[in-house]
Amino acid sequence: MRPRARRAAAILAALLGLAPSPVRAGEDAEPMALFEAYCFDCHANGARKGGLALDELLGRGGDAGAEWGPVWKIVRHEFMPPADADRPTDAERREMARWIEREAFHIDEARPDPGRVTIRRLNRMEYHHTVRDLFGIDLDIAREVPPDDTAFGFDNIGDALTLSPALLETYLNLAEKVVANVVATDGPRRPRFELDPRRFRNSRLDDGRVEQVAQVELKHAGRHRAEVQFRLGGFRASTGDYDVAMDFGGTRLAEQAVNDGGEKTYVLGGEVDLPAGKHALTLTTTPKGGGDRGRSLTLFPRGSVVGPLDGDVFEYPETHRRVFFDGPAPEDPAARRAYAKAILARVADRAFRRPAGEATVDRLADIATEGGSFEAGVARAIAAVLSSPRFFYRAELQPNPDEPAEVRPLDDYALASRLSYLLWLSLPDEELARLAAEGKLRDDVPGQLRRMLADPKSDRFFEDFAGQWLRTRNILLAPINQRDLGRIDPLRFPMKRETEMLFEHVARKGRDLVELLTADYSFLNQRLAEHYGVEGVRGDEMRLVKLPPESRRGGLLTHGSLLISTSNPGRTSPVKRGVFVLENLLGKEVPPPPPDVGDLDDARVDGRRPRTLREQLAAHREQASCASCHAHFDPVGLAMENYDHLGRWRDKERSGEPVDATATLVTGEAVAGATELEKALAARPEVFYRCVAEKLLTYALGRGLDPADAPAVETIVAKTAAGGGSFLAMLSAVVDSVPFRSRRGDSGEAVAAGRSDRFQPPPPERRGAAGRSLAAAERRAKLEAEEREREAQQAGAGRSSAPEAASPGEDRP
Amino acid sequence: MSRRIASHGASRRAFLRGLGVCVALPTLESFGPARALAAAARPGETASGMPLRMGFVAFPNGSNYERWKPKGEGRDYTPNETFAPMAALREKFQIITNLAHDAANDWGDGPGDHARSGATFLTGAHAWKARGAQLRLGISVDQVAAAQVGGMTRIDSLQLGTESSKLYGACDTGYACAYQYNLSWASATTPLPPEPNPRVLFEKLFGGVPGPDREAALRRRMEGRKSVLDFVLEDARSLRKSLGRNDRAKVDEYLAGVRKLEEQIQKHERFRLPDAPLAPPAGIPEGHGEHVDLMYDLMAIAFQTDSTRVVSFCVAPEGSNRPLPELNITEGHHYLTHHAGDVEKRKKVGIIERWYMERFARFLAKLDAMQDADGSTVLDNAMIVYGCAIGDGNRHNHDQLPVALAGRGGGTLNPGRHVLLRDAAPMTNLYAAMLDRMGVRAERVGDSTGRLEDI
Repeated sequence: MRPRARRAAAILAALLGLAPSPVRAGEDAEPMALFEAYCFDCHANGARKGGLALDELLGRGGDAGAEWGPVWKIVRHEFMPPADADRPTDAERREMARWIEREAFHIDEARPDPGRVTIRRLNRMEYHHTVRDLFGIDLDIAREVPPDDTAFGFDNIGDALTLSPALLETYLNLAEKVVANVVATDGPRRPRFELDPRRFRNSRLDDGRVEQVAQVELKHAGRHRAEVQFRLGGFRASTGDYDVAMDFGGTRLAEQAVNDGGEKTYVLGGEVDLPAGKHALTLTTTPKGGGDRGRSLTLFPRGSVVGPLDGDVFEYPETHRRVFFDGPAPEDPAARRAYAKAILARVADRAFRRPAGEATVDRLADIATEGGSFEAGVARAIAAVLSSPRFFYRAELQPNPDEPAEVRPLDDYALASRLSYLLWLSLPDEELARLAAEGKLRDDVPGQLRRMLADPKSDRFFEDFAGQWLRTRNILLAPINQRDLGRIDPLRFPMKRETEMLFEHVARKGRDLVELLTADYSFLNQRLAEHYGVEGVRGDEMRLVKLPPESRRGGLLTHGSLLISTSNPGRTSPVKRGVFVLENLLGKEVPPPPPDVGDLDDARVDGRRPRTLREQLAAHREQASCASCHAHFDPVGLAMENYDHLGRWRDKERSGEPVDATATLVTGEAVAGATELEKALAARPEVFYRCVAEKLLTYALGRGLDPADAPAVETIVAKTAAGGGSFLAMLSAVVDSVPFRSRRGDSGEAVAAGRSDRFQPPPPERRGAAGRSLAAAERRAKLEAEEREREAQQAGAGRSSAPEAASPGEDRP
Repeated sequence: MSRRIASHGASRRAFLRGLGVCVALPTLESFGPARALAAAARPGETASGMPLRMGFVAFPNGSNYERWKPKGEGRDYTPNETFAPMAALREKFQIITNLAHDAANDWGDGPGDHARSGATFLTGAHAWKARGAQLRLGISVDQVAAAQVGGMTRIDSLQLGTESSKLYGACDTGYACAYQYNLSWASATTPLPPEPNPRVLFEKLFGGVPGPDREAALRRRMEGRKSVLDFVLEDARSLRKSLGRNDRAKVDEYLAGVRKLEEQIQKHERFRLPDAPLAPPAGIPEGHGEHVDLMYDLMAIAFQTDSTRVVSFCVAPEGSNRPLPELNITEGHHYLTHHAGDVEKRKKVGIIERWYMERFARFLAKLDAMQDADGSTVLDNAMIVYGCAIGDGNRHNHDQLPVALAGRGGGTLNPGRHVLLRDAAPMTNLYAAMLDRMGVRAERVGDSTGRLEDI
């Protein structure tokens, strides 16, 4: 037994009055008293509710380390003691959790463990932004690459970012495509003006038409070809047929009938003579069958204007000129090679996010001079750069990577990448790269953070982080009943933006993060305002709107994005809503239901099926095994029942009965409605900070958190609170934290964990029907085999070994 | 590589006629001397020397078992209503009852049954809830086969799906999404994401470069890729040296991919691209049914042209809550399967289940209309599993799985029956028996305990 555990056991024994020795004065005395006061009634002295006997666990000391995991979580996430028992204060809880961290997990705050971040592959959004910042081109990445898998709620987790051969092939094909777009291998081209969705200004007209206008500056007069393409559909069902018209410089160039069901790409193009100067390229989308108010379609067009087609103006595109920074290649072979090396070193140093090294650049120059034109050769070498694992993965190097005891500060290059991928989803810019090269970055992190947040590229972070933490992306895909589609589809994007804009506003303006819950304002356009029943908002543009109390809106919990994506098609789901709040706003991991639990729909009250959802849930909570968890999330979801499955306010249920949105939270607080619920949640700001801090740290590190991160999380929470709850205070604390700033070697524990006892099938009696029947079949087969063996031995007495095919199961045809 | 076929009754013209217009079968370029029928089939071939194909089709959310389970057994069984669309194919498939996927049970891992079932279906392995998010499952049966017969075709194996967007952070309770979305696993740690886009799949099957000198253009491209691969291989090796254990495993995934691509380049030199018997699809069609049908069509063509012999197809990911407006069903599929006895919901599940079966039947009929050079149909020279790792969608049991096995396996299967097993047997015992017939050596698949012989 380890000394600490022995001491703990001794204390415990003393507490229980089993040992004559006096209680030793020390840091442990108080936490132990807490466990005794709050837990021992059900989990000691022979009582082992839920299979847990704390006294036995304590007695097993250090060997029981891993078994403390669930206890730690339950204490920390407040799932125990049950609602009707005495509950510890927040401070007492922290004491108990800290004791487990110290004694069972051996976490030493003086020697913090930064944990192990697995090498991260660029996910598809990071790839998109990285290529964009490297070369200035925009990829329609969703069309090229399948979505990445998520773990711990995020899609940038190193361990979950796998790479199949097919995906590698996709990315290599994409690298070729990128290079073909960047480098003009066939010489100068006719001038070309690129159009992407952000160039278009959108406005919705009253009759349902949508006008999207991009201003195009033509340098030369002449005939120009405009081409625009856009994709429609995806998972969503169709909202109907539309006509799309394209006008350029006042001339109608193309018309096309479209439908937004399925997944289709449309291309519209045409040619027109225009003078030099600014011209409007306009796309007008009209619902077919006239102005059907409430139904309209906004496109995400990309395309180009090429011309003059009739002149002899030729030029290299901007992207090409950026790569071939010193103009065309010289004739002299040695000078050519030197130029190729200079180009490739520039590209590779940035793409690899640290110096590529002389040898690598030489090899790249070899590829570049293998044949074809100078430009074609350089293009080939750039494709190689984009295919390299040094581009593809964000490797963080350290001297003794296999030495788990060695903790090292992150080198400046790796730090620059962690910062830039956190806030920009992309590679470090020149300033970060320069600071890293000079070894000055770690001393200038606060200044860099402010600079990075001020850069418009940080918008990516707000979309990506909020989109995943608050699941706003899901509103784009949430299944909606056919009859409601026409109403909801045009609201999906505004709803997504509403939540993201609130988060961005609170974060950028330095407001207290709890304002996410209590804001008396939101971000709406006319349509969304009408859906919410808020008056006085005109036009399509999302803007800050003050919300009067009678609007019954304000705070995240009243956002359509959250209310809809936590509903089932056609009805609300208090359980889903409650679990969402618990997991994403309170940071509690809901423990799994006990085995063999009945379905919610199967619940019976006096032999009949309960009428309302509220009754169903109440019946469910009757069962003690369900109650301990459902008491945490049911009331939360029930308090939000005044918002229907489409996020609208309602006074009556579908049955006609008035909505009852009163609930008693597990803390004993009674609330009526979402606004009071928000106030109750906001009353414990540290719980909310801790939740956001855990999400942000997970996102920043690209790994799940474990108990060893608890001290870092507590530090971040304390600094956030000291900083008035501002996002900048939290972000600064995250990037200052031990796990963000340092690495340790890899003992291969992840691999070992895969082989631990935890990953063994349980005994047959604890398995489901399939397991039991299989086990029974196996036993029978074994018996039969033994029977046969006995017969064989009797038949061929004297032979020492059984025939090879003793088990019929192992026979081969 | 030259492929041999039996000379009896197989004239080249008959063969080509059977294929229909403009499909050239690359593997049958040279007709070698006749081979004795009695000789044991080579891996991936029927006894008559034809390609033997393996397909695995997974449907989501279990079955509506009272509409699935046949009456009686053996040849005289009476099929249940879900199998109505298969009536014309009765002699070409068998229903196997009492198979189980024990590893899909929670084993103390709590909820997340759909993610787990999706993961278990072809692997027979249990998806453990993330510890450090390390994915850890097992190689799937199709990949066991692909590893041994993949070299005989231009494409080792294909993974097809229909899901082009995924919800965020919303995979089944506590599981990494990889478990829920990927049927096929190349190893315990490498899922193979299914391709949902028919256009991309088409390019894979018939070459990505359009135009008359498609083949030449593709060759040029492969040539250029060689020097890229040489470069990155060296890069990966040197990077690997400076990384810790776990990171090295990640870079090994990358290296495995590079090796596959190298093999592919060699294959492009060996195999000619088949001509496309249909126009390139524009993208994902509007209706789910149209989408599923198109994927089945491409799967059939992949088999017919012998572009690959191993395909898995996830018609919708496990737990799919897709409403089916084309059937006038506006509720999600998953939501409906938890019907708790509600007659209306149960009826709708029945409609969905039968509709998925219609899609499958249409696909089988297509295969059955495609002729191989030995006079049999492509379906005869195939074995295709249709099933789910959840028994009844409402009960969420993992025994009494709904499983059908289509095809004659080149004469190694005995279809037209309801095979009712007395004792539950692992689903993987079926897989192991199929691998035997495929000529693939494998001691076991996942949790298999033997071979299911009576198929």
